[in-house]
Amino acid sequence: MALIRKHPGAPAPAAAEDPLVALEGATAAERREAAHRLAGDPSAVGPLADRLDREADRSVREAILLALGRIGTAEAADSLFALLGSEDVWLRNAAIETLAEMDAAVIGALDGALSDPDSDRRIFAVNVLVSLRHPAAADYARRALAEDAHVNVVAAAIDVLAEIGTPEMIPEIEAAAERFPDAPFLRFAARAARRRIA
Amino acid sequence: MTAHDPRSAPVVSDSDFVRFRDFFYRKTGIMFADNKRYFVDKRLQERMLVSGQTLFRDYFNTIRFQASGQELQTLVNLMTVNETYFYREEYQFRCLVQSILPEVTRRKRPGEAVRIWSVPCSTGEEPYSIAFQLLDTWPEVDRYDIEIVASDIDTTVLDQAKRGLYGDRAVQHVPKPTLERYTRRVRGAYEVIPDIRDSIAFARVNLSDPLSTRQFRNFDVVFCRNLLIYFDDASRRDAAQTIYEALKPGGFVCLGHSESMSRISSLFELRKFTDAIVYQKPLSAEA
Amino acid sequence: MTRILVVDDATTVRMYYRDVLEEAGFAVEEAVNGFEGLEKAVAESFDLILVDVNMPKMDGYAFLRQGRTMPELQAVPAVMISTESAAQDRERAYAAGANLYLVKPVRPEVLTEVATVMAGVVP
Repeated sequence: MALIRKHPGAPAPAAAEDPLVALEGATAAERREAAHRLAGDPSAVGPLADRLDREADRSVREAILLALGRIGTAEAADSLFALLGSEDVWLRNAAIETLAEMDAAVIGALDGALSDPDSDRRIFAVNVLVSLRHPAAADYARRALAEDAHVNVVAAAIDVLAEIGTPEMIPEIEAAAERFPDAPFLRFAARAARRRIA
Repeated sequence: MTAHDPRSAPVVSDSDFVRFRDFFYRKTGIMFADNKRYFVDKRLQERMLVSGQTLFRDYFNTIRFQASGQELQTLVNLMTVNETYFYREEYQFRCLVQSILPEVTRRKRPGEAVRIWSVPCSTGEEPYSIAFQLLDTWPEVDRYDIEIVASDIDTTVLDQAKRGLYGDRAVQHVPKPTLERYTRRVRGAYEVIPDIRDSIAFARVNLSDPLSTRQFRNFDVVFCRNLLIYFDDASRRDAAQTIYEALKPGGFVCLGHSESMSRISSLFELRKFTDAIVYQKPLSAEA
Repeated sequence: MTRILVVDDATTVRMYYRDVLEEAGFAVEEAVNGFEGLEKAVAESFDLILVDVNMPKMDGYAFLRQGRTMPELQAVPAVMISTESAAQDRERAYAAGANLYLVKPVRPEVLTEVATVMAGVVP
């Protein structure tokens, strides 16, 4: 018969090498495994972020991002926020995604990101809020709503509140749209948010 | 309001439904059309009653903010159909034979191994379906050594899979001649013949732990159907990473019909074939 | 009916484009990121794509670059719509294969006008 049984094999012995050394290894497989092994080590944030900066293989980058996400400390969150200014479009979007999966650790670092002089970075920071399983997430969005000078940041905040907001926030949302009379999109966004929240 | 009447169902308003639907879509990629309203409401109401949160807003907060994610998980399980049977989503097996294997074997010499991983294999219907389909419909089936590995995190279902015993419902979509060739009747049930049972390697695995799957490598095809919808976003990425590492460059992965790699991972390329859309580890990838 | 694919991760933006464009008589499909955009495009044909830049999994540039190598998307007009207004972002968009680059937010009448002109037909 054509079907051949092959046992998947005994679990391969754990790599003996220090994962920090393997992180700079010659093969992508080695570096990926090193990242997986470091996913439980909060002291590895620095080396992981450092490697990420120089890493060209996307699967290794992804493994490093996942490790930073799993480590989940404020330091890990900071290292990810630092990537929001990257010229590398994939990297900055993947960093946002990873942040959005990190919950509580992110909250501390959000403050800084939400005050970044670059409006696009503030948009990224606002977008992290929607997936955060944290009760303060909505409050951060409301702050951006009330205070941000840039129409697209306010738009992002409205989009977030449309999902995580509560009915008593509707007046704030509508007031925010009124701050930008030249942007019919914001009035639409406020109306849509009202429908989605109420 | 009838909120205090234990016999009345909690209210799910139109905007509640829309809000829930958007959220569920974002979480799982599964979009409920308006005609699924009753289906969705019923399950939401059931969970709201069980969890003692009869106001939709409160329940919605739970599924969004609960740190353990337990309630959301329970809800996902309820909302998704988890029935397994032979030849489920058969179009993918057609795709395997018509499109995927021809490509995969283009670069292989006769006698080389073709490795296929079925994970989760649950009670075995999927790996056995693959075996049946290859034996029945793949003209090249004798040219290569076919290795089928079947895995699940649940050892109980793995044991059942190894036994290979099934009832009428499970095999109802298998053509009679195929059933007669590859199973025998045992006390009213169908038992997969020993030759086929013995040729499948069963192993326990936790797909969301990349370190636990180090020996699962060099696969040409992975079937990972209707599992990832149960995972949270981070675990989905982990699982996609595991699958990527398990595949040879140029290897393929098939997800469930309502699932898409588009919401899970950017490591794979889209491949559209006649029978199905599948995902491929780039040929140029370093192993 | 003229079919437009809207690729943007923001729900409000997709709703807005749908609202405006359906009002103008177009048929609208949505995708939440570039990868899903590619999946929709290989499954059905479109007369116009509106695509955002920053999205998870696959951004707008990657979507365009890949899309332009696929028969289904090679010749479909694509408007990239972004929050970024710097000249280099515009250049990047055109290098990736966009036919036009707009900066958000887009006024409804501009959206309708652009869609009509770029799709090449009256809906």
